[in-house]
Order: sequence, then structure tokens, then C-alpha cells
Amino acid sequence: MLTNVFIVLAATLASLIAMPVDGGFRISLGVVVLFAGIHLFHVKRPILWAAIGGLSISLFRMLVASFSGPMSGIEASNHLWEFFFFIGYGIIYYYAIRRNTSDYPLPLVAALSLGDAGGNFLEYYLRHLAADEAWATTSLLTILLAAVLRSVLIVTIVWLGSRFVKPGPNREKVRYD
Amino acid sequence: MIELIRTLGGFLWDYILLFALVGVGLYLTVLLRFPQFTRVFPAISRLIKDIKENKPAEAGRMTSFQSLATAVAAQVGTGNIVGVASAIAAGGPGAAFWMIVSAFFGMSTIFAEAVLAQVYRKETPTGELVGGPAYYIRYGLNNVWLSYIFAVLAAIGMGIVGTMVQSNAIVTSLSESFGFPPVWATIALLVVVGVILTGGMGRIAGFSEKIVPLMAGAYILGSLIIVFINFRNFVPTLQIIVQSAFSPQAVGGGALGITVRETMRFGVARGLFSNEAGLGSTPHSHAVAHTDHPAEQGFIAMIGVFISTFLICTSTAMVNLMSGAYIPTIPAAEMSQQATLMTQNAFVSGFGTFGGAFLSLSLSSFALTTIVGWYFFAESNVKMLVRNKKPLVVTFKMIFLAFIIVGPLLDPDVVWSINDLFTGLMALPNIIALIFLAKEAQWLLKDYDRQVASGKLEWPDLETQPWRRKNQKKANR
Repeated sequence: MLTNVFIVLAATLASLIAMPVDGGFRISLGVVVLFAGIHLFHVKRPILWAAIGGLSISLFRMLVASFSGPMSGIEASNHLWEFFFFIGYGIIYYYAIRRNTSDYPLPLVAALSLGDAGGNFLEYYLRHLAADEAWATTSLLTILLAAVLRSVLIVTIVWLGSRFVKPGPNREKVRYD
Repeated sequence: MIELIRTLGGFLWDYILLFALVGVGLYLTVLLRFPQFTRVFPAISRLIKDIKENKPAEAGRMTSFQSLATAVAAQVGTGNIVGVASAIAAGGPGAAFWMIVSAFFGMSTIFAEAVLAQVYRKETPTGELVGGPAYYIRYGLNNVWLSYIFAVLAAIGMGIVGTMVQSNAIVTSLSESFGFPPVWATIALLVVVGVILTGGMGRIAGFSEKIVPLMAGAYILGSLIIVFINFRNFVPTLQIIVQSAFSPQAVGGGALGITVRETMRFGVARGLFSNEAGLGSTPHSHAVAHTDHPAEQGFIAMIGVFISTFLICTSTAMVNLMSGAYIPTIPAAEMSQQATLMTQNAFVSGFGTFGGAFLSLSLSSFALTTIVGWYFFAESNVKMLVRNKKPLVVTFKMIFLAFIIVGPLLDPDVVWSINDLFTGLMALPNIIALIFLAKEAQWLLKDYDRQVASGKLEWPDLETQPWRRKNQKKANR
């Protein structure tokens, strides 16, 4: 439990570091740290902890944005929609990685990229559906490239972590291939 | 180049496969003594009993229902909607009649395919069953090269080209009907297919057994409602179908430029293509079913043709003809250009704007299940080609997912033409195998009847059979 809370806190802080990409997209370290932690420490109930992490990151971003001046309702909700990205990612992570029953599993980078792309789809679909926002005009290549880049970072952290950090009693369950 | 592919594909389908597939179906129907009449309905009742008992599948195997659902997932695709509409537009209402006739003979073909796939299946080092035409060509016909040719064509045809066709159809349909930007529709499709594939055979089977009855049931129900709305046209439509099957001129074919030959050609080709009997696709899923006797799966496979052509294709044909979406006074060449819109108009006439969305959703779900089913079939062939080497099978899976992204970027006409050529070429080795192994299918059916009559059913002792010993000798040489 303490480990899980630590992962969420670390991810929340890491979310401050972000690299903007086109179409309002950005690569944030928050998701990288959160899912690297969930995978490395084989966190039980990954969907729940992805949601908690997502909520924490969204609220923290809102807090940080409020420091720079008054914030409109739209701006605030803009941060909250990100929460659904984490839920989407968590669900796909659970099915594509934790419950991977194939004898020929996808490489971890590819499976994580699916989660990332799926999370993005859910977030932008709900934004479009509920908030009547126009669909993000980001290109397919950018979405996939960002997903792969984040996934490579996650796998690198997991690999380093499994070598240099004791990942707990479930160490043997961690896969980074 | 694309013109050459179109010409080759057209020649293959119109002049070789049409006759070869109907011929094999006819030959097997006589050899197996018309199993369509006596075997399908008992198989349906047995299948319902199995579903009620809800026995879980053993690891690395599917239940009979799961294998049927996976086969139907692949069989029922965009061709069951757009293809049928095109056949009627180009061949007139009589095409529906010939479509059913070809499916009737296709039932015997698919019986033989499924039975042979059961007999010649193999177990992978991980304990999963794997089989299909490549396996019965290799171990039954003892022709390694022909099995490799089939496996390569199937892996490319179903795993790459077929995937692009279907992903293109889904993305176009979702973006046109629901306003999804193609980029996001592609992402959604990629994620859904990717997640299903990460669950292996178990998740593919689970997905198929849940989605296929739902999508087929919804489409048939929607079609039935249109039929009921236009019920006054029911008998006249049946009359037109039968009349124009033999004399399209009598229904206005003279003016439309449709001949009996064209009516037959379009109808038979659509029937064969929609239920995939003889193409060598569905045996891959029937091979992995757990049964007491191979013939049992043969009967189950026949239900797949029944669902795909007799129920779904006929629904599309009736909806188009009864709703007035098909206009007999418009020349065939002009009608063919509006074929895609024809079924949409039919559903819109019954349900208003919801009809368009319903059709688009049906089309997308049909295409999605086809992608999943075809992946499973293609993977079976890749496993044989690469001797179950894990990194290579995984690489194929990655390539397959990559082509889901590529599909929507290409011109659909070009991809369809390549797909027609590959599926056509794939059918040739399978037809050869079916002709030479037909007697084995016959023996297995007789053995099943013998066992049922004696009151006990068990896996036949194949090693003692004369044809198996002959095969063994050949293999040893």
C-alpha cells in the first residue's frame, strides 16, 4: 500500500516535466513514472491505482496552473479530462499485459503503446462527446510515436529498476522484454 | 500493375474458381450423400445442447461453439452486406437464388474441410492445437511444397491484405456515419484488435462466441423488421427472385442488359465468397475444436454456411429487394455504382437516420470480427511456416497490427483487387487437396454413422486405415 502511494506521489511530481508535441499533445513524465511503478512493483488492482494516479496528477496540474493566475471552468475541466486517459490506459494495461494469456505475447513496448494510444482515444472521445470539443487534429504518426516513446521510457525504467531497485516479492513476475 | 492484378483475379474467379468450387461442392455432395438434408438440423440441436451445458474448453482447444463462432466471425464480413448488394445490382434479383444454390453445395465442401482439419491437426510445443488446409495438404496429401504455398498465400492473403481491406472498411464506415476522424477510428481499431490478440486463442474464441451471435442476431432482426414493414412485397419478391434466376429478361433484364449467365456468375461467386466454403479459411478454427469424432465438427461447420449465406446474405438480399431500394428499371451498370448505397437506403427507408447508423455499426462489427478471425487463421499458417518459433510468430503479430494502420491509408479498390487475387490463389491448393482427400472425408462420415449405430462414439483409429498407411509409406519415402 505504501509503495503504491509512493508511486502515485512520484508520478504526480514527475508530471510537472512535460514536452509539448503538436495538436495540444504533450509527453509527460507522470504517466511514465506511474506505469513504470505499477509494472515494476506488480501493483495489485492496476486499474484502480491508475485511476488514483490519474486523479492525483490531474488535480496537481490544476493546482499548479492556479498559481499562475485565475483559472476558468473550461481550463479546470481541461485538466480533469486527463483522468480518463489514465483509466483507459489502466484498463488496456490490465488486459494486454496482466491478463496476457497468449503463448506468443506482444513485446512490452508494443503492449504499453496500445495502452497509451487507447487511453488517448478514450480521453479525446469523451472530451468530444461530453464537452462538445472538436477532435484533436494530431496526426496518427504523432500519437503513435508519442505512445512508443513513452513506452520505451517505461520499459527502460522497469529494466533499470528490476536491476538496481528491489521490486518486492513479485520480482520474478516483472517482464521487460 | 494494378490492372494486371485485376485481370488475373478476374480470370481466376470467373473462369477457374467458379467452376472448381461448384464442381467440388457437387462432387462432395454426391459422395457424402447430400449431408445438407440430413445433418444440419441435428447438428444445430446438438450445438444448442452444448451451449446450454456450457462446458469450458480445455487449454489450447476451443469448444465446438467457439470454433463455429470464430469461423462465422471470419465468414461474415463486409461481403455479406456490400457484396450481396453488388451481386444483385450487377446480376439482378436472380443472383440471390444462385447465391443460395452455391451455398447449398458449399455445405458439403466445408464439411470435408472441417473433418480433414480435425484429422490432420497438430499440437504445438505449448500444448495448443493447430491445423487447417496447410496441415492436411502436408500430412494428408504428403505434399510439403503445396502446403507451404498455401501457408504463404494464406498468411499474406488473410493476415495482411485481408486485414487492410477490413480496416479500411471499418474506418471509412465509422468516419462517414459517426463523424470519427479516420486517425482516431484507426487508433480505436488498433487498440481493440491488439487487446483481443494479447489474450491468445482463448480470448479470440471468447470474443467470437460473445460478439458473433449478438451481431448476427441484431442484423437478422433488423432485416426482419424491414421485411415485416414491407410484407406485402414478400411473395412478389420471391417470384421475381426465382423468375429472374432463369430468365432475367422477363423481369426487365433485356433493358438492363443482364443475361442468365451473368445472374448465375454474380450469384454463385457471391455465395462462395461470402461463406468461404472451399477457400480454405474456416478449417483453421474447426481444427482446434474439441470433439468426440471429427465428423461432429464437420456438421457444425455446415451451420456456418447456413448462418453466413442462408441467413445473413439472404437477409441483405430480401431487404434490398423488398424495400424498393433495388430499382429494376435502372440499368445494371448504373445500379452497380450505387450498390453500397442501396442497402443503406433500404435500412433508412425502414428506420430513418437510425437505419444508416445501424448498418454502419453492423458493417463495422462484421469487419472487426473478420479481422480477428482471419488473424487466427493466418497465424496457424505462420506457425507451420516458422515451426512455432516464438519470435517469428510475435513478429508476424506486430506486422499484422501495423497493417491495420496502413489499410485505411490505401485506395480500397486496389486493396480489394489484391485481396481477391490472394484468396483466389489460396483456394487452388485447398481444392486440389479436397479432391484427393475426399474419400477420407467419406470414410470418416461412414465411420461416424457406424459408431452412432453401435451406440458408442470415440475418436476413430486412423492409423489402421489403408489410406493412412499409404500416406505413411509415401511420407517415409
